[in-house]
Parts: sequence; C-alpha cells; structure tokens
Amino acid sequence: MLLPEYIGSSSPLPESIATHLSSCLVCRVEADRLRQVAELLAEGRQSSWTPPSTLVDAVMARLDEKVESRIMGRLVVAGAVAVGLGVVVAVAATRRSSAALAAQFDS
Amino acid sequence: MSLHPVEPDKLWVIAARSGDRDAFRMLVEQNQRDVYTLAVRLVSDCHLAEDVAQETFVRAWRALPNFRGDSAFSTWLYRITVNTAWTHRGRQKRHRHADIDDVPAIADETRRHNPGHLDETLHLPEALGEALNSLSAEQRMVVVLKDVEGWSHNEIAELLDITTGAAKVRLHRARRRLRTLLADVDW
Repeated sequence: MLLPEYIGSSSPLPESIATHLSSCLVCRVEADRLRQVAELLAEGRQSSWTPPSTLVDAVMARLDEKVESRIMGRLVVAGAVAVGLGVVVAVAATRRSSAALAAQFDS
Repeated sequence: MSLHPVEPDKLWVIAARSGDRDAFRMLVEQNQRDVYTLAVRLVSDCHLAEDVAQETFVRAWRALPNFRGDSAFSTWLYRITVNTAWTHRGRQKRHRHADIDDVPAIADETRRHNPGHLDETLHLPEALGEALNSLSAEQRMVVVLKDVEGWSHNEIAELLDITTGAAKVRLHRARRRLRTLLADVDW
C-alpha cells in the first residue's frame, strides 16, 4: 500500500515504488487520487475566513474583565486581611482589658 | 549611516508589552483574520473557532511580557492558536454531539446505512471537507498541521508532547482513515 507520505513529497519516489507504479495500473490510479488529496489540502492554506466583526471588541472586553476581576480579587484579599487584623487587635485589646480588670480585683 | 526602520508590527508589540492596550488592539486587528482562519481549519466549527480566536488573544496578552521576539509575532501567535485549539478539543466533541442531534433524521439514516463512508455523489473537494470533519479532533489537527499548514513531524510532536515516531504513527492513522472515508467518492 502506498503511503501518502511519498505522494505529497517534493522529492522523487523511492525507486522500488516508482518501478511498481510504472507496471501497476491499480496503484497508479490510487497514487493519482492521493496526489489530488494532497494538493487540495495544500491549497487550503491559500483560503481564508473572515472573522466575526465583533471579535476585536470581544477580546478587548475580556481583557477588561480580567483586570476588573484581578482588582476585585485583590480588594477581597485586602478586605480579608483588614478584617483579620481587626479581629487580632480586638482580641488583644480584650485580653489586655481583662488582665487589667483581674489586676484591679486582685489588688 | 543607514537607518533601519522598525516595522509597525514590532512597534505595536513593544508598546503592547509595556501594557499599551491600544497597541494590543492594533495587533488583534492586524492578526485576527489569520488566527481565525487557522482556528476554523483546526476545529472546523465557526462558533468554536471564534472562542479559540478570542482565547488565543487573551492568552497572548497575558504571555506578552515573556515574548522575546525570537520569532515573528504572527508565528508566536500561530503557536498559541494551535495550543488553544488543542485544549478546546474536548469542547469540540460536546459541540459535535449537539450538532448531530440537530441534523435531520435522513442524515442519521444515511450514516446508519453507510457508517464508514461518505455520500458517493459528493465530489472530491466537498468530500474531503466532510471527511476531515468526520475525523476525531486529534486526527484532524494532525492532518491540518502537517498537510495544510506544513508543520514538521517534530513540531507536531512537540505540541502534542509525544515522540516524533508517535506523531508519525498518528498522522499515518489519520491519513489511512481519510482514505477509507474517501474510498467511494466520485473523483
């Protein structure tokens, strides 16, 4: 069975395959078919598709979303840190005042 | 002393790398057709290709600070497009199942009677398009990259994270499947 590899290649066919092709009509027809497929596929490179008119705006909007979500993420983290610090300060203050009260009772 | 004018593309890349969105927009406008065309070829679905193109540019924006300019910007963008299409191939399968649900019953009937081959009345160009669509996402990408885009086996292997030998085997199987699908077509 002939590999399409040989057919699409610009280099000459291996000698054994070329010899076989010259004497075998079935393989010659098959080789022609494969060559046409290879040519059609290569021609596909020349064609182009028009992108939707909204593509550029959609991309830029997605970039904005990413920035916004990153800012929001940082705000959330900053808020969480602030709340955490507040809790720590409050706990420390409570402990300090409890200790002061205990000291007053002791005295 | 001769002056070497810098290509506009490079100026926009430099500006975009430093965070200039207008410059990046220019790059998107300039490259959108090529990126979208490659995406359509790889995923063979216009809606999905639009997603792939969008995602490609978003990834490019994120990766721009790492772009060293060793290759042309368009080449770099091409590689991101292929990678993005590759990661979208799971979505493609889901899309295709939805599409199959939508086609008229007669098409299902044809497939049931002749599951391994295409409609014999199709001529080669249409049949080839149909045959490519009938390949799995992985097989089609390998054929498109090699036979349409002209990538080397090594480049394909690198993308798929497999050996060059394995890439050749995949390509061979994909081409063999194409031949089977095209066997009954009127040339």
